[in-house]
Amino acid sequence: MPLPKGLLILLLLLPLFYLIYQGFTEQYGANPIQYLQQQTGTTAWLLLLLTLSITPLARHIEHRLRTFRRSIGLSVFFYAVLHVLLYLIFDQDLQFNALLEDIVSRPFISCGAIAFILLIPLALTSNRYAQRKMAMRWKLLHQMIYVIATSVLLHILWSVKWITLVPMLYVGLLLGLLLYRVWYQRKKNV
Amino acid sequence: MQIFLLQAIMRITINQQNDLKSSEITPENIFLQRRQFIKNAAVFGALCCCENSLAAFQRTLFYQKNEKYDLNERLTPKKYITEYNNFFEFSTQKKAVKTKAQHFITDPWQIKVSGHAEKTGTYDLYTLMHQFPLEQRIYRFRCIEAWSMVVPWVGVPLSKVLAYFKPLQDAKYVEFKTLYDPQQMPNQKIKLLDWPYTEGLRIDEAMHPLTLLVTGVYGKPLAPQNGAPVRLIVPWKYGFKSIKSIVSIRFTQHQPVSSWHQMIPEEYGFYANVNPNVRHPKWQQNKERRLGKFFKQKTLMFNGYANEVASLYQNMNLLENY
Repeated sequence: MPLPKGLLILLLLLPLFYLIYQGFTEQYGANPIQYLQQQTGTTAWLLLLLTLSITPLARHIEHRLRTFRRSIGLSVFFYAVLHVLLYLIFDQDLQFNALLEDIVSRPFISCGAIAFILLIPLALTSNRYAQRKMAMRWKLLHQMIYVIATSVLLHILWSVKWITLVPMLYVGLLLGLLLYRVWYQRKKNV
Repeated sequence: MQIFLLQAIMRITINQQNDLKSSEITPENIFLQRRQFIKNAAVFGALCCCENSLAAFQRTLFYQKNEKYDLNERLTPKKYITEYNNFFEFSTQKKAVKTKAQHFITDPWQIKVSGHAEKTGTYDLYTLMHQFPLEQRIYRFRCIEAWSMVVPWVGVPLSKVLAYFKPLQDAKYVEFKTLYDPQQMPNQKIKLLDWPYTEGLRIDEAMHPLTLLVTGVYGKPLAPQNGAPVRLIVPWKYGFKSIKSIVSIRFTQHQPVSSWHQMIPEEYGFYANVNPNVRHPKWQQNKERRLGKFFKQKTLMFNGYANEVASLYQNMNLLENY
């Protein structure tokens, strides 16, 4: 089960390699920017769900999975950065005023902005040095991942026209992960 | 053109007179290609007689270019127009519409005309359209999702077609409906919208010279994913007003249902005029992505047709009546 770090990182970069391959084979379609925004966003989100699943999986199935959590978590940030850059450059022309205007006027962008901004301190403290220095506060800070995940889910739900099967699945998965956490805390406190 | 030359050649060869005027002599290159001309004419004739859908899409439409409706902007490549489609009856994935719609039957096709008009009834589309010469117009097309195209449509001004039905004085609006056929359009089995797709225009909008009843694009008949065999194009409004695969035209006294407006009235107005000043919660309307370009460009009021249509709305508050 445990993989060498390099192999794990390679696996986490596969979605990026696939996107690059699709670029060279002209599979982006008529609106490449929109497609890339969608794909990087979906990848970041799915990896986020995976990150949240590591702890339950590690507790109940294979404890060595825990060593993957940091890498997977950082890959979430990686794809989120790509996603946000595509938006900043191609949708907002790197204009700060236009960006601010959009954040306050479109609720789904507000949610996305909140999620990304909260993700930054988590990414910056994703190392052993920060873990040691912050001790108890590190755990508290990183529990924000649940706020971030909820914000991303709202971002997704607000961006689609209909809540079809896939968005419903996302709601179910996140709800499941949140409920698991509540259940485990209760169990621990008993 | 080919038939004309064929006739000219035949006239020459059948003519028994010995002295021919030099103007009657067929140019050598055309004379040598006469067999090809005859073959093309025969194929063309055969196609006219017994068309299946595939041949229908491949045949060329005969139309005149209307130079008055041309734009100093690059045409969107045909591939984008035929492979990036919002036609939710077939699929909610833009790329999938073409495949899902490929077997859509467009011949025979009937349009039911009803309501406040003299010549109501059910019309065969092809017989009806035969009476109106086709023209090509290059229009901007702006989707509410903030992307846009420049499209060479082939069609007839809707005003000409509607005038044919002789609408009565009390016809204040025109309602259009798309085909309802869940067998061919699988998503009509799901309540994404209140099927069949219904749209409407005020009578002055419908009779406006810009409004086009479209049967082709890029010189060929519409492919199913673009709303074959006949659709509306109202270039100063968001794309969802340009209803596809029309089976019903009804002249009404009261404002008709507009499917998206019915579904989410705060987001989709009845008028749906392209207006950079009216916000939308999902898409930024002051900018648009022109397909083929990477950066967004400014959206123009009425999609750049303000000169032609602003007068229709001069007494209306467009921030309220969107």
